[in-house]
Amino acid sequence: MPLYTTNAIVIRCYPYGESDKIVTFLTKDFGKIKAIAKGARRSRRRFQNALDLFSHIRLIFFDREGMGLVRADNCDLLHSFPRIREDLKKILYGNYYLELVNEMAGEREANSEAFDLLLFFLSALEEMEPQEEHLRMFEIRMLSLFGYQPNVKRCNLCKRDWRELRETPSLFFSLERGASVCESCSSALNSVIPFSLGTARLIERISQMDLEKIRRFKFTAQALSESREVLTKFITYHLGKELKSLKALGTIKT
Amino acid sequence: MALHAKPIDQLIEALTKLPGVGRKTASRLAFHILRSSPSEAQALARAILDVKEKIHLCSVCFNLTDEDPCRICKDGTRSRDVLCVVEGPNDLIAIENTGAFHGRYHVLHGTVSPLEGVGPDDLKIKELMERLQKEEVGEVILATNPTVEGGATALYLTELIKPLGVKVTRIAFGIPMGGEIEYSDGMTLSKALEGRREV
Ligand SMILES: [Zn+2]
Ligand SMILES: [Zn+2]
Repeated sequence: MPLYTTNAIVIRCYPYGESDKIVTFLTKDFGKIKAIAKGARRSRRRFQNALDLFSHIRLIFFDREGMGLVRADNCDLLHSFPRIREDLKKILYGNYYLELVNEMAGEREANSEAFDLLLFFLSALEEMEPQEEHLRMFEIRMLSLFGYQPNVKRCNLCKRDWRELRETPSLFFSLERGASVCESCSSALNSVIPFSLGTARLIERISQMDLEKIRRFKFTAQALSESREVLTKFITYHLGKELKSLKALGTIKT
Repeated sequence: MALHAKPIDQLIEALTKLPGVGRKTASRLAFHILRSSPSEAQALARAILDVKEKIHLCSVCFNLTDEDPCRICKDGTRSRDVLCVVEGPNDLIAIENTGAFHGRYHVLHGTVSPLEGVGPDDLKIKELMERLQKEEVGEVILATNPTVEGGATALYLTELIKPLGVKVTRIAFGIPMGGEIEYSDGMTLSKALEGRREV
């Protein structure tokens, strides 16, 4: 059985039997992998206490070719994000990052940028007060990374570019097309959400923005509420279900 | 695929529904039961029915019990001043086995787990708050696990209970007995330092 080493973040874990854990990792080199960690609930030696949500670890695992689960052999804890773990709102934010990645990433499809992005947003959450802009920016960047970047430069149907119009157009976002459409084209489509040109430009801008600038970037109140509406509905539409942690963000008071 | 007589197959089928029991183990267990004496088999069947018929949740602390309120809640020698909040009945038993705690318990039956879709309303939290309104409790000990979810639950409960003027404490985390500082992870070590006490 070949042995592999990679950096990984725990995105899901639950107890299995009396002494084991099933853990889903987002890894730097192998994409999302699901592993069984034998003895992780009892023996502290091989896994320390590192196999908990958010843990950034150096993971060593065995892969039996063709099998769904890999076998985690041991790990070193690199960072446990203690300040996320001690703040309920941060935990809720962080859980949403983890669930969104888990839903979007395919098993064993390497995507090191997705790993870097998750690590970046978890680090920001560790160091700063949670801010809603970060949720939206994480969504925009994740959608882009997995090929679902909202196309909001022009009308997806008549192809008119928003920059070419003389007056400020009324825009709609089509969930089905993952793109913006103009008012007259929107009547031909189901499930469209009105949003402003400003928010369309913002989404466009963030998908290309330098990550370091993202940390302190602020939205206007209008952009915040419009982007929340457009992005969360688009993700729900695209995944075919509402994410549990998104619901928790709305219902658990912190 | 009916290889065995129907009753044997039915038993095997029923046993494979138990956690961690595959087909092979189930058939080994089934043949063990088949070879055992009628009284042993009856005792097993009776025991299974009994847990379903006689065990329910204590209406005060929500521990598993065959009488209501449970023995711990009824015990007049236990302190009414301290309430220990645990995730599940097994945690209660583990703490009870230490013999070090003489207050009473409240069993939540889970943790706040956003990824699993489990929220405060799915736990015995409303019931805990009602207890705190009714009973004269001076201290609530939060004995949830040191996991992200156990922590989230403790944080949520702290916010809820503190305004009532009740003292809220969290069990200490640190280096296990027989453990070694050198091999402890950073988080455990820093928790151990945080939770140090004067000797
Ligand atoms: Zn159009
Ligand atoms: Zn009781």
